[in-house]
Amino acid sequence: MSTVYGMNDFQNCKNILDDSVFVLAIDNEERSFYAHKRFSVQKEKAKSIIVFEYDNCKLSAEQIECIKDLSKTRHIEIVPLPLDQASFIRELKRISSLRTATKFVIDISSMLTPYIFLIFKCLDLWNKDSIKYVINTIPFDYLFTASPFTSFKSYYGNLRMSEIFGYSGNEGITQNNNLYIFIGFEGALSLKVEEETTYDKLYIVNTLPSYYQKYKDISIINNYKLMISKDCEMMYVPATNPFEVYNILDKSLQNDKGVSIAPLCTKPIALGICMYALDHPNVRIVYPFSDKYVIDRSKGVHRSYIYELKQ
Amino acid sequence: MQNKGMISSTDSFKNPFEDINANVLDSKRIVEYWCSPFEVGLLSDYDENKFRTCNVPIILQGPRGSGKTTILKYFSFPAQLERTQVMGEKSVLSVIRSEGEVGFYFRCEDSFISTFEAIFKRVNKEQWTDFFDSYIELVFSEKILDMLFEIKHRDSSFDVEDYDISKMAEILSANEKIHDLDELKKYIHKQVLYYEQYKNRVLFTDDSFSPSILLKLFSLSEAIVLEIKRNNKEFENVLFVLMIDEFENLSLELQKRFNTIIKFISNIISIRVGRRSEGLITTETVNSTEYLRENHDYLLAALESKLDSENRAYNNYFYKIANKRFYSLNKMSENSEFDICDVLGDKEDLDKECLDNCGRKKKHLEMVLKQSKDLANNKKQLDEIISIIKNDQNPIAETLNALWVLRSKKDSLWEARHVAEIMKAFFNKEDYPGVEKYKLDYSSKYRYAITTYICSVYKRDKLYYSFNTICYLANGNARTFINYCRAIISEALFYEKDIFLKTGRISNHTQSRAVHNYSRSEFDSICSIVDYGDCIKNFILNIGNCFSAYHKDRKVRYPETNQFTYDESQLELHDREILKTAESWAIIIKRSKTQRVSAGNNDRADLYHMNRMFHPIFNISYRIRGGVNLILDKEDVNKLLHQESYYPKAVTKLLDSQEIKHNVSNKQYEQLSLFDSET
Repeated sequence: MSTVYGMNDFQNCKNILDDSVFVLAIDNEERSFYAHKRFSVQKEKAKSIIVFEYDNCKLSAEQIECIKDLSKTRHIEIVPLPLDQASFIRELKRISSLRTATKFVIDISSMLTPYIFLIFKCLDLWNKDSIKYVINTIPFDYLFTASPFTSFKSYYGNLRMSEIFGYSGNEGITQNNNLYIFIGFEGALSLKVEEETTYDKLYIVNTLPSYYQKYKDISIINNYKLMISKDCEMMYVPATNPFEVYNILDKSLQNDKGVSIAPLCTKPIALGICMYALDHPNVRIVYPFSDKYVIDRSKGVHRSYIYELKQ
Repeated sequence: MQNKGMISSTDSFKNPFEDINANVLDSKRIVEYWCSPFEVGLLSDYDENKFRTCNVPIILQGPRGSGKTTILKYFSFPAQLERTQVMGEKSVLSVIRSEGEVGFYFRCEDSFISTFEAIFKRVNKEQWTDFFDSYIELVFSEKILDMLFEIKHRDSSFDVEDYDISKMAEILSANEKIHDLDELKKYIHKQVLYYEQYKNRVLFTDDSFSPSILLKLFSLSEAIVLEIKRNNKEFENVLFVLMIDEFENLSLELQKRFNTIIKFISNIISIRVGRRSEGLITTETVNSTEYLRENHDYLLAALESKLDSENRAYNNYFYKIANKRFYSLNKMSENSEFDICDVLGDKEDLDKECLDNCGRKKKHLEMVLKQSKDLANNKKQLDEIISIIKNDQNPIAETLNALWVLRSKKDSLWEARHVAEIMKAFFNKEDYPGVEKYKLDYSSKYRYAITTYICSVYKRDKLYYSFNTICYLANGNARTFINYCRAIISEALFYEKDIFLKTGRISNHTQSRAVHNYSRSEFDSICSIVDYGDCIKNFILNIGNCFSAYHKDRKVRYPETNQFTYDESQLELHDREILKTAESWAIIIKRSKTQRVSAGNNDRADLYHMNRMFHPIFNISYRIRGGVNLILDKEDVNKLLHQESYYPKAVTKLLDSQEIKHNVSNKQYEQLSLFDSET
């Protein structure tokens, strides 16, 4: 059964922040400011605000002031975003409101995918019954430094595979089940996952329809080597709808059999995977981590959606 | 030649090389595709029986894709179950008894290992390796019990009722909870599950780690094995073997742990370890004064050691692999006349390739002869010499003639007539002064070099086709060979399906196109997933372009030069680490023995070459020969790794002298665009 419902255009929503803890991350991308600026215009106020700050993208005084305006008490909690998972969990543990609040509004637009999984794991363990609204703002376009299809890169340096903490599944070293790679723009990531993950059968999941038609082309071109070089099955999920992702996984996967999932995809899809994984302990999430990420990957704002999650 | 009877039903023909990675193959396919590397002598100190039953631990070493996983999986219990069916045996027990071994396979998957370490190190930094030992012991014990229940399930006469499980219960400190094998298995599974669930929660909840028991490796499993041997005579002389694959993924602390176990192995349970040739491997044990010693504590079975000397053994191995796959997947009888050598051709025909490239053009002769200033300035004499030395049916011979003329200190016209006589005598098999040298030059020394030179003159890709060529390019690596075959068959099914299915033969051009595409694609893929991928990509592109320049030398002074050397001790630490990574992924390959540094330099040093699968990218020879080698100093290596376009001085000199720098540079950009490195 799906635990995810409610999807609206963010522009049509009002009074979202009332009595909530507003959680967001800020980087240099325009989309990371979109939601809180709009709340500001609508003069919405949250109970408290948690801002995650990237090490290589410190908040300016002006940004801090702007965000403070959204809090009734003008108090905001700025939390560093360390790159290693354990340190991030340690930071989350220090935030008392994550355990006590009854309502959260979480803007995932500028959060790296593993952080999304870790935040929701915390909420699942500490504050399961809380109401959660999730905002995702889609950029107008991504930054391609050279030719459009192959130059997108979201990280620097080497990749290393790890499970996302809290999502190791329940089969440990004997894991040898199906692997679902939800592909994104970068072929290197999917190749890394495929190379280093034990699996029985490979499923490559693409988005359909994507925000723009060209994004599907890009992800296919950049993952083409994987598609043609391995015996795999293609699947499709909608790019903006986490509920459908959840339902598709629910229909496709068996509860009693382990499965590995690599969420290299859009954030709404990752959200759907996250919700599914929280409900199914047999799901294991693997991810290719890097030591450093590019912070300017997109420009402009296309649309913004808000998803309501309830238990 | 036709492969008669190759494809009986053209509609149902499947590419037999689709299953590539042994990690993904189930035991049915592992058994179905099995070709014994032992039988063809790839592991010459071993036969299958020794590998199975030797009490001394064996480390199976080889590069990525060399077949380690296939071997380990083949000797594990699920494959034995498959073999029972294939051999028509009633019970797996008789297979296990006759093989004298039963194996349990575990892959040290990077994600699992790194997560386990990261989490349990935070729980207890000093004790986390004990937790790992205990976890592995629980899983291993559970696997042994799974085996018993599987046998029981298949063979009701297999008796497990009389097992005395008190010893195991005592080890687990659970005497009151365990009364039979079923309860033992459930109890162990519960302990394993505790680890998994704890791992998923601990960082979020700060729960303390309180397993019911901490086991040492083999403490419980040995007790189970002893009880099995006591109860079931079939197991009396059977060795239980723990198969640990991808050992290099273990951190140094865990490697030390396993090394200690290897050093003090019992005679009931042994270990087989699969690991990459290089990489972060330690021989240390947990005791700082004791190290693992080869042939004392363990035996080394190296899958790559014979590459230099026994290419024929690999050809034989690959030949069997290919044919077996055709038989297995397309359900052909082993007596049918199918032969992979007929599909791909046995060997390449360089004479024909050159003839196809030249037609009747003589530009290749002109370019050689114009390296002589006198001839470059005397068009009439140049034409006259060409008319004397030419052989319209044999471009290789006529190019060789041009080289003889160019190198002679005598009058060019005289030399032209002289070499023409020698050529004539050679082809007529007549005795004549100089024929022996001509034969050596034509048949061996310059044959391939002239072909690649002619390709460069007419701006054609060198063709890579035939079974022999694919074996060379595979560099002794089974997975690469299978990948090439897969790419070639796919290409044939797309471009020339009807002819392929009718004749069982694939054209040279289709083969070569598939080879080029695969080589580029694989290079790109590997560089995108290895550590320091960008630097390694620079290095290979730069070094490949150097060799490409050598292959275009109009005086053909460096026939088939494709090796390089550097003094590792002189390199910057970071550069050394990058090259070690390249070596561990078999992107560059070190010759097994030290060699003469280069022609004219008798010092001995380690020689390296790129993995031959990348040679088609640069249209260079796949043969590894002696002669001139590229000597790189510290600065060269650094720039080759970190600059996108760099030529060592020796190569720059060659390029400048022949004004071919521009071409090479253009070619490089052309290649770079194929690897997505837009700038």
